[in-house]
Amino acid sequence: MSGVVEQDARLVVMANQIANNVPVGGEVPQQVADHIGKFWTGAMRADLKRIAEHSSDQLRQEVVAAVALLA
Amino acid sequence: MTVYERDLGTPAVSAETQVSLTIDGMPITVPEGTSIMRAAALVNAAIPKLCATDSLEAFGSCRLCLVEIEGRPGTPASCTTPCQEGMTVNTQTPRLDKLRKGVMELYISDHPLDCLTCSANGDCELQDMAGAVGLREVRYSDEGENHLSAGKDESNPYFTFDASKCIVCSRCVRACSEVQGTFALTIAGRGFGSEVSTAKGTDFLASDCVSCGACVQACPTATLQEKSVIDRGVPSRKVKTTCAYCGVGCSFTAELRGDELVRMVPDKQGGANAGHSCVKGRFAWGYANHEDRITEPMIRDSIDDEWRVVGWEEAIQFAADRLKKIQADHGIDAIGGITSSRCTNEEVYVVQKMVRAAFGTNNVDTCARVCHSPTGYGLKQTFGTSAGTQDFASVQDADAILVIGANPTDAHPVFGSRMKRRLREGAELIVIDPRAIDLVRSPHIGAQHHLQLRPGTNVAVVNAMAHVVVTEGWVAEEFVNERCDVESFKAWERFIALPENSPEALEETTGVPAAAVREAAETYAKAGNGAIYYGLGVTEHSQGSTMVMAMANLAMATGNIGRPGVGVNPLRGQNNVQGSCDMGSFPHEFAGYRHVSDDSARALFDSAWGVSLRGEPGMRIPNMLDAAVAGKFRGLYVQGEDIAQSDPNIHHVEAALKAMDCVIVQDLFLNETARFAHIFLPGTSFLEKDGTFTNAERRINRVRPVVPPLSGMSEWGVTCAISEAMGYPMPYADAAEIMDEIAALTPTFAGVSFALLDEVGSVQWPCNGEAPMGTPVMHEQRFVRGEGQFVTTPYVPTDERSTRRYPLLLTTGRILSQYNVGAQTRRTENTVWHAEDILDIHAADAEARGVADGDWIEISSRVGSTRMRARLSDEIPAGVVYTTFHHPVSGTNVITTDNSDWATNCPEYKVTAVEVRPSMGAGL
Repeated sequence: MSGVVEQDARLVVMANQIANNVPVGGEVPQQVADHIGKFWTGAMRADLKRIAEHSSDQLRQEVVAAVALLA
Repeated sequence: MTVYERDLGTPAVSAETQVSLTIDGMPITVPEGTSIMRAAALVNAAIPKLCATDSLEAFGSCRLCLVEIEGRPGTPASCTTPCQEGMTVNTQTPRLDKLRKGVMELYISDHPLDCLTCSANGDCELQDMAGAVGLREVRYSDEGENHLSAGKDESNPYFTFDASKCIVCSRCVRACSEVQGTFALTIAGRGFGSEVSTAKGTDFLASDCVSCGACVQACPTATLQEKSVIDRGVPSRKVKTTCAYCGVGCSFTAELRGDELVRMVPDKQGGANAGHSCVKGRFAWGYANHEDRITEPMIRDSIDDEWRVVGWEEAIQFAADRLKKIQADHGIDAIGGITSSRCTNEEVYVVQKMVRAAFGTNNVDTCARVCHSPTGYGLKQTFGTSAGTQDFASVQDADAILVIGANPTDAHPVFGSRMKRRLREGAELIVIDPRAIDLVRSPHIGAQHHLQLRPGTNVAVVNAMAHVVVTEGWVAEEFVNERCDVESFKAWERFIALPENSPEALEETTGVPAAAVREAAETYAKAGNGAIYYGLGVTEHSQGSTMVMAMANLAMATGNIGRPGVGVNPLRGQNNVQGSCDMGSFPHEFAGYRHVSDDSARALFDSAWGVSLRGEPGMRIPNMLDAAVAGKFRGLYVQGEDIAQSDPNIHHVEAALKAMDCVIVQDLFLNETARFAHIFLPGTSFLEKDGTFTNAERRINRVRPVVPPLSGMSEWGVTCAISEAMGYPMPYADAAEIMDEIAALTPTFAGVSFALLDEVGSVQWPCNGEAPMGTPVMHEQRFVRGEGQFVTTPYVPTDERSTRRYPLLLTTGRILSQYNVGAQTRRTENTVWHAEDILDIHAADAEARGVADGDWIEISSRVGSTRMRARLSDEIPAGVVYTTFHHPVSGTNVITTDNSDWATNCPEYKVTAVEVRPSMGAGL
């Protein structure tokens, strides 16, 4: 696996894990977007958007929805 | 010149009632219950004594401290006689002189008269007292029965026990019991045959002794004596400083003879340790002068080249040129830095400032990423700030102590002793841990509840406890209504009351019987003062942050926040984890935990630093490593950290380091990470540093230079030089000036200065206009965030599960004698207790694999394998194995995975699915 592919795979795992763990009760996509916006770099967010665009099947639906909310 | 502290004979007493008396004609008023001995010492009418010392309860055995009290018959012992209103005490009378002389004569008649060549000459209370009572002759010959030929036990690497010099005052035995709580020593025999012995009757090394040094500290003669004093002589000067091992942050007096360190003595005035110590801080400082120390800068073009020793100027310019070239070729964000929790606040602060201001990126992270980053996240969400709630002394007021994923007697031993003292006094103990840690069953202590859960199910267990609290109606409603966000409480209450969170529903998942969870919940909720203490067994999980919030929920729901004896208390792993986090080491936060996107905070730093800072987070350590493997991240400044041994999935870490064009390591030794470095900058040991550490209770302590830096430069000075070579000067005159800048930019540190710390010893932040002398207990009137925030904490199983291929779960931890990756302790005599990492395995699992005690085994996970010896242990349940990570040769983190906490990326060190097989030996 190349380094870039490996990095993408890690971002997918991280994003899905966030969606799976945010507190219950709130809107999951918004919480995921807020968390990623607060803790991820711009480059990581851009990579996630690219992944969501081309390989959205790897991402939970809430993450795909969250990507649309990212600045 | 004396370097020794004044000893008032018996401990201080606190009482509302005061009593006034007269001692040798001098009036004094003291708290009721104060001994005559202590009161006399306070008016400088010191009474001769041998068995008394103010770190131990009065014993009344030596009969030297006798006094006369007007209107009372006899000559009572002043150490055991309390002051009373109107008393008139005489400490010097002809009758007392005669009695004391007689007593001393008997002691000396059975003591070697080798004072001039004795290692304690000048530091011997027996010698002092012989002088104080005016003893001029001994009428008894040494021909009668005596102990003068008793043997000497030299088995302990750090101190000797010379029975011929023992006066059987029991101070060592009492110190081991009262202060340390190990009960390793006793008085064997009776009458004239009484002698100090280990409880097992063995030598010290084979005994239960944990080498904390309390007995050596207490000994009034040369019976228990540091080998360093025997070798080097008694000290002639002292410097107060702070230990650089665990997050307890003990205060010590470094005692020197000239410029040579003779011993480290725990400081009785130390806010964190109150005169106690552990084997690491007391004795394991020899690494500071170890032959492996690198004291000259080194560079090399490629990691395949040999190191070339160069001067500071060349090394700094080489580093700056490489970093600038990387940024020119690959962009501003292609470099970053990692700060160290072993360095001072001032050293950490300048590194993160250099990264943000000189590098122009927020790619700065700290080793707290791999330990307590979930604490920062979870406590900020719920309470409003990223720190524990109490001071260590608070445990003395706890009625129920809940220890989760921590092993205080090994990892935070001085606090562990304080906790054990409270437990012996009657506080109840709940332990939530897969392992039966020492606290579960040790002398005079036993956990009322040990919830021996499956690794990875912390959240399920604490949710189940909270479920019981809510459904049984044990919520502290007044506290919740007055102090917490009620809406968030109601949402949490509905969530936690769901049947899926009941102990019965989760019993199969956690492996903990539902009844045991219910009983533990009742103990915690109904105790009065319930205190939570936790460690890396909480944070180093895929739900580490969730678990921190779950504990905060439980504490708030039961009203256990905001007063002594309660709270949520992280036991920090390294000495300055709290400080390195406070100083703005996280990529998303400036000093004082203000997010980089906060315009007002950023404007403050922009103005002070004269730059325009970035408003979006930088990369965390794992992000940096992933980006390095992807070729996007090319340069890293690593301050005092060994990520190639301490971080998970070592193969991945090594691949990342190999892929970089410039790795700068600033450290004492050529550590594992230095194998991949291009520039090595020699660091300073804690004995050479000038600055501050902040311990787990937010206590800011001074670290004072005991000796000059061996490399000739301070670490902060080196960082500033690189920054200047990068084009951004940071011209500080000294470390105090750095703290002044921190205080000016960080509201919680606004009142902190070296001058204040030198005056009062230490302060706990927040220390500012509202709390000029600091804040021992947080959230007393209101939470930092205003109202306490409840957060729903659904249990989500980790992806790391046992399988047919990897049926066992590995969990990792520390041992008392070693510290973290062992870079320091492996270079001391502490290796006598732990020379290698060993795998603890349950007898049933061992038998099923044909493994016997002491056998070499191979342990494999999905990411790697390593070999070590096995030890059959009943401290862990079947299905779980345990080891430490102190030795690079065993490479425990070769097998830990890159799973991490969902919110912070703190690695999931505590759960790795593995298989164990017999192996022929150490080689792979």
